Amino acid sequence: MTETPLLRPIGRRLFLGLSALGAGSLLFGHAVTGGDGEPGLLADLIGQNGFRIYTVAPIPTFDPATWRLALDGLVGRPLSLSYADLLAQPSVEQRGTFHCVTGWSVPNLVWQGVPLRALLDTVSPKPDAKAVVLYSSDGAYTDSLTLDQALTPDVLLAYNMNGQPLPLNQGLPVRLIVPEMYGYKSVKWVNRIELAPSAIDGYWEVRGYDRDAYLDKSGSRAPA
Amino acid sequence: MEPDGDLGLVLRFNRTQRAVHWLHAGGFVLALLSGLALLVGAAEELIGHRFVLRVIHIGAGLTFALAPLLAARLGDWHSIRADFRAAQWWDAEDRRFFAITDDSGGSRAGRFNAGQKANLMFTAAATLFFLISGAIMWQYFRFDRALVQNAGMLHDTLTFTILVVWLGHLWYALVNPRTRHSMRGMLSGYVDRSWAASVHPRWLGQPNASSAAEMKIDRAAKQEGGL
Repeated sequence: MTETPLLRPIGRRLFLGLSALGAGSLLFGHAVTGGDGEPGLLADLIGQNGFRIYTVAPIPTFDPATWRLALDGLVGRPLSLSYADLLAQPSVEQRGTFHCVTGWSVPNLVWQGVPLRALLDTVSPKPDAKAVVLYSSDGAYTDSLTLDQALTPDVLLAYNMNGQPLPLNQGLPVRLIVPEMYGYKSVKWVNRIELAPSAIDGYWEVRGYDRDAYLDKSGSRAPA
Repeated sequence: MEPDGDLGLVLRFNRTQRAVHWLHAGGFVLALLSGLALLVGAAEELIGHRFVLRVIHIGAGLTFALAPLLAARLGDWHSIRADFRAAQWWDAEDRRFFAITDDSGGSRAGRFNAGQKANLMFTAAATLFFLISGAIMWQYFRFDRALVQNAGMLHDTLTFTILVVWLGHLWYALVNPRTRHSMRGMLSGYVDRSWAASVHPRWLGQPNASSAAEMKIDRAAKQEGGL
């Protein structure tokens, strides 16, 4: 039997079978899983509430007594809000899915917060203000939107998620939510909003990410 | 039949084969550690510096996937091809390796047993799809969101799968008394003839043409390089 061994391409079939599995999951995995990411157990190991916690600097602390949110730059009337001031603003609730560029999503989230548009109206942007720059209290993270993007009605300064205050590692007390864009635009721990003459490259954009973070690459692109 | 049989050593992995293995292994460990730090929320919160981790991870991933190819191209390409060919083609003994009912007390392995062949084929496919899915995640803005999402899930699934396979690999290479001697082959290139006769009897009995040729080349190189 071993004198003239009959060779069969079993190893090759293994390689091709695994490759077919890999290619299939790249092309159709979305349809099979519904695009909701990993099942619960794995998601709990690697994240929290379906989120994965990404930080670029130590997580900032939050003291409701001293925390302020500043709106300044090219504005007629600069504004500084305490946490109580922020909670006292008229708020909206909206349901949405959070999409990260690294491939995970969290569906069916209920955000409560203040539309960015409402605050921008309050501070009267000057005519040469064309962009909004958001700063995080971690001291490192920034990102920007064009003024037109920032005025989109569903862009929210969210302080509650699913009826609860944001967890500390998800932006307590307030984070931006831009439903039409990938999550890296949704700055956590926002403590300053500056009206500027043009959009800037934010933390990840300086490091190679696209300044255009729209989920849908073909449509829904707001005028720049 | 074997020259210099009295030395008691036989060449198992030539320089190219060792370079390919260790470039792949080094890149893998670095990619695994940086990748887990990027993946696991608690580690991420502890370490921060996501950008630095990301740069390390992409560099390690490219090393893990592409540096072995480069080393093979610059070195003895034929010996690498021969090993991949051997892993693709299984004979009757290989097929018996995974058989549940085995009355002969184990199959007689050649240069690689069927488990090693399966490991090489799995690793090749996993590496290919780590590279593809990683590139899609890296260059996410060029692709549809559904594809980016699928790439992320595939990358994670591959991570958990390869972790299990790698722990098995480490067990055979470092712990299992019958097989751990093979680690010496991957470090120095040579293994004991008696070990090879017991664990890879058909390799020693019928060394394929390429490994015999390698042995001569390697020995000649040693004589030239040594004093």
